[in-house]
Amino acid sequence: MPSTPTKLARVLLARAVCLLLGLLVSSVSLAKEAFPVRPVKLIIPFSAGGGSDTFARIIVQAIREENLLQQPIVVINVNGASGTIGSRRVKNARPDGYTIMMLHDAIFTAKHTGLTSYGAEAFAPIAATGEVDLVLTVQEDSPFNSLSELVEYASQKPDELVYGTAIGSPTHIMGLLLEEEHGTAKFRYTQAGSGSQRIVALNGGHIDLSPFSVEEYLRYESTGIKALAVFSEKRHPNIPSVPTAKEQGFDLNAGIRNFWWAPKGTPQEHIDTIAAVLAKAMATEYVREKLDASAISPSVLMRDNLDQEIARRDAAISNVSIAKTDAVPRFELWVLGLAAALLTAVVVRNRQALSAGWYSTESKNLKLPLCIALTFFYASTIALELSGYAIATTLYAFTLCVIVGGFSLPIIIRSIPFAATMGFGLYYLFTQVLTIDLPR
Amino acid sequence: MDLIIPTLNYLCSPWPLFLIALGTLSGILVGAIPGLTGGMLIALSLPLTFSMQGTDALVLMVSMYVGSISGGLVTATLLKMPGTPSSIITTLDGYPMAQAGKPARALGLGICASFVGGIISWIFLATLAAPLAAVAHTLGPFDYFSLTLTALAIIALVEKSVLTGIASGVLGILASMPGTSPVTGDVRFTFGYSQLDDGFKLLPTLIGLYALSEVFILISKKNATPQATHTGRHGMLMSLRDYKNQAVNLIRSSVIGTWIGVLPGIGASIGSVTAYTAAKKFSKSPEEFGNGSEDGIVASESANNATVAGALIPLLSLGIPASVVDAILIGAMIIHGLQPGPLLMNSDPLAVSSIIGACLVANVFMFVFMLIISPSLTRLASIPRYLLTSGIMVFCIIGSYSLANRMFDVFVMLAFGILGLGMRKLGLGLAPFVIGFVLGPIAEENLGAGLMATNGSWAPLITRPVSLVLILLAISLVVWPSLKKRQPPKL
Repeated sequence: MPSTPTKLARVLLARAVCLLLGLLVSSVSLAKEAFPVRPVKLIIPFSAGGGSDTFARIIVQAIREENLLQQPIVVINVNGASGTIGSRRVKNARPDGYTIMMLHDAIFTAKHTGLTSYGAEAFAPIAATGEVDLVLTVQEDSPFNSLSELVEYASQKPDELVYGTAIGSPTHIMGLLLEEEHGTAKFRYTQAGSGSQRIVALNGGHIDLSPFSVEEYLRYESTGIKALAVFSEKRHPNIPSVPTAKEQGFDLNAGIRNFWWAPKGTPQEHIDTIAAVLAKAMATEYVREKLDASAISPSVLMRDNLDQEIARRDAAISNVSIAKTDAVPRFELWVLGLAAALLTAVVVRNRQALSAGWYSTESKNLKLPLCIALTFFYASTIALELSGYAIATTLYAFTLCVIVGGFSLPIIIRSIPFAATMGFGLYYLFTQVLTIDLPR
Repeated sequence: MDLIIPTLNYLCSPWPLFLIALGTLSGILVGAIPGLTGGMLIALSLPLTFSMQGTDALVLMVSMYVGSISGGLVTATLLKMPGTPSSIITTLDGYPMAQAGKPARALGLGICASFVGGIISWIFLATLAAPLAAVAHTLGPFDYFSLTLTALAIIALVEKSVLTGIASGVLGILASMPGTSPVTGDVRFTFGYSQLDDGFKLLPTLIGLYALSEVFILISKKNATPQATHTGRHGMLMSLRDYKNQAVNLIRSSVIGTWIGVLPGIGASIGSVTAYTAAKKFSKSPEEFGNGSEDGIVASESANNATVAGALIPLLSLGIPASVVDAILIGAMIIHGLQPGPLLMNSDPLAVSSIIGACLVANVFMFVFMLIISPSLTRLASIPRYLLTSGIMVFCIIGSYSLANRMFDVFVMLAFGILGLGMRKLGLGLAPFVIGFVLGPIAEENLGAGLMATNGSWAPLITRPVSLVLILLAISLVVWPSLKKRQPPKL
């Protein structure tokens, strides 16, 4: 039976070829049909634990539980400067559908206030999911009982009613839109921070009126505030007794929508895939329940409706102008001048002691500059994603140990497991248990 | 009152007890590691609680909060690196005392003070929550500004020279200014570099200045002599006499801490700064402050722990978050279907009382854990230098990166590390710089908000009684030491 092994080999070879061909074919078709083949990064340009982050994580949870997408969506918080640090990163990301972002109306306001040079037009919109409706509130014992009474007063005595808001945020724009709609009314805008700070200021009488989301309003209602209007198309089911602005003659719809964006140039079919998944997630029982608890309207916009809505909001915002306040001096220049003066005084008074301190370096060894240089090199390696975090960190920690401790066998023996634990342990902890975006 | 039995029932069952233990312990560890903070731990573990029952999740997170505020004192005392921002002030006296050969005593004072601070503020939380939260409303932006100014006055006091202290503090305020203005939202001092739009964040700045510069000094020392440390629990527990001596200080600092905790937008760091200033003012031996004063450690640690229960007061009674961690807790409540707000006490009284109870249990656990692990922690300073330095460096880097998933914060931290090294060499104090950096934006935001509301009038600063008193206090704090110096020393 000499031929059997060759036969077997031939059969095996044939099978292997078939398998390879099959793999090739299936991978080609995979590339065509099955986006995504790896995890999708969802950038949330606000910090973990905040409103946007919570909303996004609820959606992501529903997608995972219902198996709506064959790959996970990983939430990454890139917070700071009203969402612009994150939006800038997504704008410059590769348009392959694997980096997307959820950012509400701040994308319009950032451009309008001059924080960024780009707005919605720099992105490919995916969908809008959920709308946070805003209510305008005053103190319970305020003389105003309707939106028109309030706005009439603001028109007769302009710049007197103090409107508390986070300057430059969508809640600020809402007031400006109201002024614009009326024509002659004028509020005095003041920085009053987040919703939690505004409610304290409103209750204490430090501001006269302030907008809140419906969820916040429900939470704070019994602390002594009343709502004059809700700025939505229809009355909000959670507060049916509060009339809309439209009912009171102001054609305004200033709810905050959660928009999902992809970098410009992302293939339309990938955008459609994600949009469909989002729509399905929004329809799940889980999301409905959570949204109801947060009083967020579960509306979904896609395609043409979405484009129209974005154009409408963009146009509405460019109609208003944000007047720069002249009530606040430029503190930064005061501090700069003061710092320069004080520093000069310190240097003049202590020049001898200072120069003595500078040169009294007790040890002139190369260890420190070497360590600092190594650290910068390591940080740059990770920043440029030249190496994975685990490997780079292991090497870095090991080299640092050897530089500081000296090149001797016991130190090397103890450093290797230590460095490996740091590198691989932290990588596992931060990417698998927590969701931090470290280079692989 | 009829809630006590079901609450005890809940808190004594194994799962919640395990969660409290887990939360407290992980909080202590994260708090003790420079570069990682409790806020980070809580925010990042929020998604992990999605599948838990609502009360359990909150109990876990509150325990983390309690643990993390306490853990910072360990590294602050032993290594002069505050593990969390709220322990900055503890370095001033804890480290000198540990250096003087009494690390166990220094840790023990901090731990006992933390515990007492936690308990006193917890009593306020359990009994006076609603009325205290209501008083917070009466304070306006000008009052907040004056309060911050009073806390800022300490920059003139912590250094030997008033001038260098103020100069360093003003530099700290300046360093807080690049980026988006907290008042107008305008971007300044960024020179067109958009990564700087968010300014320098607190964590990279703080750990750069304190932890990193200390690591640099450790590295450059030729032969680091591991100092003699007391390992045992000897001196760890405060004696009855200690409690008697510190009673006034403990109560005063805890009340200050609780009160600062109640106020929204002001953090645990201000609590410890203010209590420290007050303790120094009332002390019979103010010259010991900064050189290992027991009063200083006690004031700082009891006050920062008191802010935790203080911050829970407006959260549970009104649904108003008073701190960053509170804001995350609100998010957790909403996710888990607990509607935060004044009605929470009616709609879900058991959840509220369980959270309040968990805060107490977490304080007890914190006390026990810290006492158990501290003897081994005093050996922290004798860990081989090469392992300590490279470990801290790696933690500082990943901690800064995790703030916003970007390397910019890491480079900021490295830059402030080098700046901190230079300032140490020149003998400029780091504490005033950091205090200025932390308090500057809060002062600016409130003053700016006040001015916008009055359309540019500064008058309320002196026409509002609270503000006037605080301003006079701030002035006297700065002027008093220089007047005192002229007088002949009394013996």
